[in-house]
Amino acid sequence: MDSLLYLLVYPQRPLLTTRTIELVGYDKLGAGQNATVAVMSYSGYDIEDAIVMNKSSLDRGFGRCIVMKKFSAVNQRYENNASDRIVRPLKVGHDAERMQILDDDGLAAPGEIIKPNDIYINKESPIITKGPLISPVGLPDSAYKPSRQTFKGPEGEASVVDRVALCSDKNSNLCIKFLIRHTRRPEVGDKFSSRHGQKGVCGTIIQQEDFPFSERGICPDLIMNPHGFPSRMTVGKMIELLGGKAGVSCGRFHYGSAFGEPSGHADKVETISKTLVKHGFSYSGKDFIYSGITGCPLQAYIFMGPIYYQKLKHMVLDKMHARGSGPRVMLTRQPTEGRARNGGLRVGEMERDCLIAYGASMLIFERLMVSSDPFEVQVCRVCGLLGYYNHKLKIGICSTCKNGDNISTMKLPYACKLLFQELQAMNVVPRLKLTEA
Amino acid sequence: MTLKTFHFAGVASMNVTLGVPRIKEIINGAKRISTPIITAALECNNNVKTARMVKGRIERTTLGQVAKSIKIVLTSRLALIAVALDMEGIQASQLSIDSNIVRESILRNRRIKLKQQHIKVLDAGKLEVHPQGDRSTIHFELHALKNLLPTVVVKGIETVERAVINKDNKVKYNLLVEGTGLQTVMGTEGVIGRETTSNHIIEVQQTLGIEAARKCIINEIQYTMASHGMSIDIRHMMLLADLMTFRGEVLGITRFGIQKMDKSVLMLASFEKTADHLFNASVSGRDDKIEGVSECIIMGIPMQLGTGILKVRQRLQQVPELSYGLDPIIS
Repeated sequence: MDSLLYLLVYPQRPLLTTRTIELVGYDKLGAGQNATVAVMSYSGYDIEDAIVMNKSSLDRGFGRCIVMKKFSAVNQRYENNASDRIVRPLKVGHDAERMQILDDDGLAAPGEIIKPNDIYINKESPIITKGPLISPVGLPDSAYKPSRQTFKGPEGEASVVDRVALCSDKNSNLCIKFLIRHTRRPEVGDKFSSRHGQKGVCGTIIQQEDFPFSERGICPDLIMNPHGFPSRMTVGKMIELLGGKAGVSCGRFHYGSAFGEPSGHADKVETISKTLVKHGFSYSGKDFIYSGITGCPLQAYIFMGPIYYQKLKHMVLDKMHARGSGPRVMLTRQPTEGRARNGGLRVGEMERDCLIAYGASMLIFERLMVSSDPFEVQVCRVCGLLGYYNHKLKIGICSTCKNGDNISTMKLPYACKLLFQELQAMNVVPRLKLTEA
Repeated sequence: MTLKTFHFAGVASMNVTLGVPRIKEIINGAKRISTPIITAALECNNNVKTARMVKGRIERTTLGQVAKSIKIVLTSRLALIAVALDMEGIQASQLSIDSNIVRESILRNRRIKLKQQHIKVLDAGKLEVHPQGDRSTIHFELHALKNLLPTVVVKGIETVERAVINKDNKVKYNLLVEGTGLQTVMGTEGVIGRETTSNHIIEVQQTLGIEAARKCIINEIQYTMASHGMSIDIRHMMLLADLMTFRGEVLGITRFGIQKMDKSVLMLASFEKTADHLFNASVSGRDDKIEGVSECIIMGIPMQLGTGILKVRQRLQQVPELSYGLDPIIS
């Protein structure tokens, strides 16, 4: 069972291929969908390669994908012959509503909708795991403690248990694998790309009523910004649009190779243009379009036609991350790193250099000290070493001078205090000399 | 910036390092750079012939280039090397070399250990070299001398590889000298010493002083950036050049240079070689005044630049004593 699998719900075969793709059989794999694309500026949400999508196309299933993830658990067998067991769920008690999707055998049933914090395996582990061998059957209920597995997905995702597989691993322990499936609809921030390296993120989703429409009433699914063409020079995309439009009109799949061969395995742009003219379109692929908002026709002809678009696996639901305050690393008491550990974003050395160049001294102080790891220490003015605070006597005491006469309180980053203590462990003494603030 | 480009505006045969490697050489304060070039202004800059004479004075000419033949003569009575000079060639390239000059150069050469009596001048174009030694080593000496003699520099400056006459802006001639030896080139007859520059910064510092080295750093960075079409405000380069030269010598931005530039232990420890700096500082009992940016960040106080350059003080007003109660009847 794969640990992560992405599937497209409605794959389509490309309208324009080349002979090489057909020889390899790549067009039979269905990697994307033929979207009707209009190349124009619209709404201002399409700057820097973003694309504007049609809400009704998304309602009809454009770009939907299914994400399948694997979760597994093992019934461990311990040294004293005791092993985990799976028990039937409780119907009453304070944990009962988390166990709603469990079947009578303690495992979540396939087809149930699973939400974050739901229990999908009701497992119990023995408390005593080492010692003399005992027979696993005779243990009373009190010898087990619960070790349930809860589902940790992002909030708001309604995932479904797709499949449950029971198998055994190499020590013949029972191994349970869950495949959890979630259907995702494209939203603002998901990444799409054509086959020509024109990748872009969905900028906004607009209703079909506001979208421009052609004389025959066709609304595009996608609006692409024409600024992506001049510096990238992807002529292949323009030929794909022409060939796809001709293919849709005359009913034959066209070939998009750059070389027009007499064997019929490539179509020249002139022949494609003639086909378009024969079916009532312009030879250049441009259409007469009406604006959806005002109803008046636009003053320029718009390049519109089908292009094969693929949905890429970088989806915003997997990447979005925010933190106000949260877990800290135990050693340096600084915020953790990484989205999985609810981490913070690092202000690194180069960012520090930029802030120095601006002279923003208090901003550096706030980012690198106040929001990170401030720590209050008691410093002795005589010996310069760090002391401690006695809560009963309510004064700070220096460990070397053995009295609290000359103690001052100051704030240091915890990493600095750690550095001083590590240096003291190596016989290097950093003494602090204090002056009036 | 492309990584390695070699080209020189005007003269196609010269190779100058440009691009990222050159910027690296400048910033590291490299003692030895790959293409040191001295630009020499000529006193008489509209005549090719005078330019060629100056070039002949500067360019390194070895004996092997001017000698017609260097032959070993071995008879039963004498063993010597006969050197015959190519007088027509010497005249054509307007060098002024004759046997006496060759004799002086051979004697000056440190690798050939000969004395006055071992070299005999026959006439203006021929001379003989008699190596010393007894009969058993004479063969070895002869052959060793025969290999060393063509490398003896008879004219020109030893550290100069070659010199090229360049017509800059299609109007004036100047001389581009590949190699080091700025002081000697400036003192050569026909060269205006005041307008001669080099692109080797350490050499400029040794010959002309630290302020000239600072200006040279600025000019070199500007030239490298301009040849890639980028222009940077001169203040950034002035800041970098000032930082590299403020201690009195040119220090590169490497761990050795920064170590000589800075006094603060914590800042050096946070740059490279942490343990070494901390241990050395503790052995010598050093003090660190928390003045620089890195130290302020380590200790968690606001840095003393920009907005941290001042502190705000508040004036406390004396609170007047308030008395409660009735006014006194008799004041």
